[in-house]
Amino acid sequence: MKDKKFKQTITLMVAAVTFAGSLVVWLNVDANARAANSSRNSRIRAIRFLTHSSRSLWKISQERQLLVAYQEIGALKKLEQAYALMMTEPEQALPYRLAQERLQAMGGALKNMGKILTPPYFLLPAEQIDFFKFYLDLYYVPAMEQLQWQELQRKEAAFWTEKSEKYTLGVTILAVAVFLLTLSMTISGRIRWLAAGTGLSLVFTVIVFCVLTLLRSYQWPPRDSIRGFSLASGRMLQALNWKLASFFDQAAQASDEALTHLHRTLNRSPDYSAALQLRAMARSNRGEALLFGSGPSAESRLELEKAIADWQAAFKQEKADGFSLWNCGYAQFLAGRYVDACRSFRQALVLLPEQRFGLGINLAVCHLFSGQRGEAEKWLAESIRHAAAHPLASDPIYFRAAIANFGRFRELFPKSGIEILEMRMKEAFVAIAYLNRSDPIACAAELSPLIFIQPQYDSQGNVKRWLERADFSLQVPRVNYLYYCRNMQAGLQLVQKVYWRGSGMVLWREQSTLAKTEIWSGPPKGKFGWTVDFPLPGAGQGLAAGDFRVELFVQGKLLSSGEFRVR
Amino acid sequence: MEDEGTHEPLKIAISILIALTAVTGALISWQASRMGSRAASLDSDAIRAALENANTEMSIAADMAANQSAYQSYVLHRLNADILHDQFMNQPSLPSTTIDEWQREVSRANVYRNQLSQDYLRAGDEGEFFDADKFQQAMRAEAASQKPLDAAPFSAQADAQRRRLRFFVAMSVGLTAALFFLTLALQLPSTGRKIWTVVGVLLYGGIVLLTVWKSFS
Repeated sequence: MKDKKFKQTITLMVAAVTFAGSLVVWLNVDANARAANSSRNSRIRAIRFLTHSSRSLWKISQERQLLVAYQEIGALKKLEQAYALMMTEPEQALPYRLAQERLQAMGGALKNMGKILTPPYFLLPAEQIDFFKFYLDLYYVPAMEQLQWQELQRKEAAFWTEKSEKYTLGVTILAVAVFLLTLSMTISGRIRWLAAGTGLSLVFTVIVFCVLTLLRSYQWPPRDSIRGFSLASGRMLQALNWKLASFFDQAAQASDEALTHLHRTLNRSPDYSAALQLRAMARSNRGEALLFGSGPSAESRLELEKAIADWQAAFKQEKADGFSLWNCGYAQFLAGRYVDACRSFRQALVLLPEQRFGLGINLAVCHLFSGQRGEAEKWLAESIRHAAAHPLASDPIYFRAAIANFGRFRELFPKSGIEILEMRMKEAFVAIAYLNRSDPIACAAELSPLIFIQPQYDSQGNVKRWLERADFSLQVPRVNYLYYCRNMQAGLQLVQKVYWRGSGMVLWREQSTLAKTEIWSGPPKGKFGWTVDFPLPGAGQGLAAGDFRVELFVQGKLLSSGEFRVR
Repeated sequence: MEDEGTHEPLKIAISILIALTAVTGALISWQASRMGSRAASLDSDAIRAALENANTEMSIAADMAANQSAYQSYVLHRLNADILHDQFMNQPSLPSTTIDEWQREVSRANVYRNQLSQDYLRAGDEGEFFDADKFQQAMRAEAASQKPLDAAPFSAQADAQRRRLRFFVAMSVGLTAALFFLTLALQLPSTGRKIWTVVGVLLYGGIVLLTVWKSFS
């Protein structure tokens, strides 16, 4: 009788567990359906993003063509005006004036053909054109918004897939529980109670587990927050652009504007992890801009500390990816937390082994600043070796940015010994580009410092003598210089690199159009001359105002340099 | 012993009902599975439509750029030609090469005009203009007449299928509840047995009716 009662109870329990199991199956089906919907929507968003990108990039190229035509007409108009002014007789000037009229009308006609020649991108009276704003408005900000929607939809799909997997696990455990309960009906003795007890415990565990899973929900940020994120992304790109152009005040201002959008967004949606990461980036950018622009200060340090705090909060919300760790490490490095920065860079390197070039440079500087010079040189050599072996792992933009940053670090922290790394980077850049290897080829050549000279002409227009000087007038189309050399050999590769720093700029920017190279065919020693030439001398323009630095490399080795100024 | 003998037919009926419930559950699950497949197929259709739309938009953008470029050159050469002509008429002192230049400009304008999609070159208050909006609308309409370009209707249908799928699976859950009540009835003595049998039958009947109604709605 007791056995019958037991079996009846267990039979009922099995039926009840089957009912519970079917409920879990329903939850699983629901989660699966939501995951499928979100996954489809995410793919459609991705396709829309590509559609938007393609359409707007066509449009931008079309508007750029319009702009070029307008600028060409403007230049021709000025030329006609100059010719007209040169003529002494009105009849002689007439064709030029008429040409000017025609060009005026053509320029006017172009203004009606696109957005780029209308406000807010075209600002009168100076006819200043803000093409970057046009790019941001037409392409970048809407693209970021599409991409953000796609990303959020993808995350939603992943969320529901994870839930579905948990329910599947629940159903599987319930099946085991049913097996144990059924088993308890066919056996006797203590083991029967063990089987039944285990089965019931599993059922209880699954119920708790499924209820906890059910209570978790996916939070979509409001539409305004997504818009705010996209606008902030646009301002961040602007800040980056200013930073690359070495205008740090403007970079800090653009980062500030990004932060305004992001504070508002995060006030509305504190769990919006992408916005939190972007705020960390914006703070880091602002801190860097303040540091690079005006030197170390309490304000820059505070901003960088806030950036680090944001990164740490973001890593609690979402597992850190390689690029986030890299960015966090950079903020830690700028804030002077070298040990933390090295750790972040190493963690990033584990996740991003293909980024050995960039991360290696960061690790090198970080070790140098923390007093480990040997480690620093090891990492730099490793980074350069990687760049030489993997052409896709490095690019001229990154090389130039790293060299420019090294230059600024040298000015900000003079005793750091950074100049060795800076020189090594410059030589590696030349060796990889011109010699197809990671380091210079040893040679005995020696060069003196560069001597800049200016010709003095006689009344016939012939060069009377050369004057040594370091200042040249604005728009000078060519600057000559001399150097003494010895131990030169035929076939050695000579490379000239030129850097420029305009008024108000902090970083030296390499001027790739002023670079030159030649294979040595002269005698082993003597006095030689070379020039820094504006690429298009007949255009009536010349070198821009600012400081210029010229460097000469022989077989990839930096052997000489000099500076001059254009006022 | 007596009780069991009296209720033997009811027990058999309950057993048959249990079997029927299981078969109905299997049928509903089969329907639900078909809906899942249909929803997945509609998802693919939605993505295909989005891709077709992307392809169309990219073609339109490329054609638009070509037309705009031709239009820009056409306008500039035409304008230059017109002004040159006026200048030559008003300034007899101009050299005769002016008229040669005018002819060259007219020829160039003509070349670019021929590059344009002529249907969209319209006459306006300020002369001819290229109607870019109409051009794009026509290109889109032409593409849409050959293949679906809008993902939204397919997505909506897929969502609807998944809502039905959830409903059908919910009915399966209801059937397992009915199964539970019938099993309970089988285990209990006479009065309880009858009550739980009625509950089980009512639940089963309700679910079957709801499922049939939903299948044809």
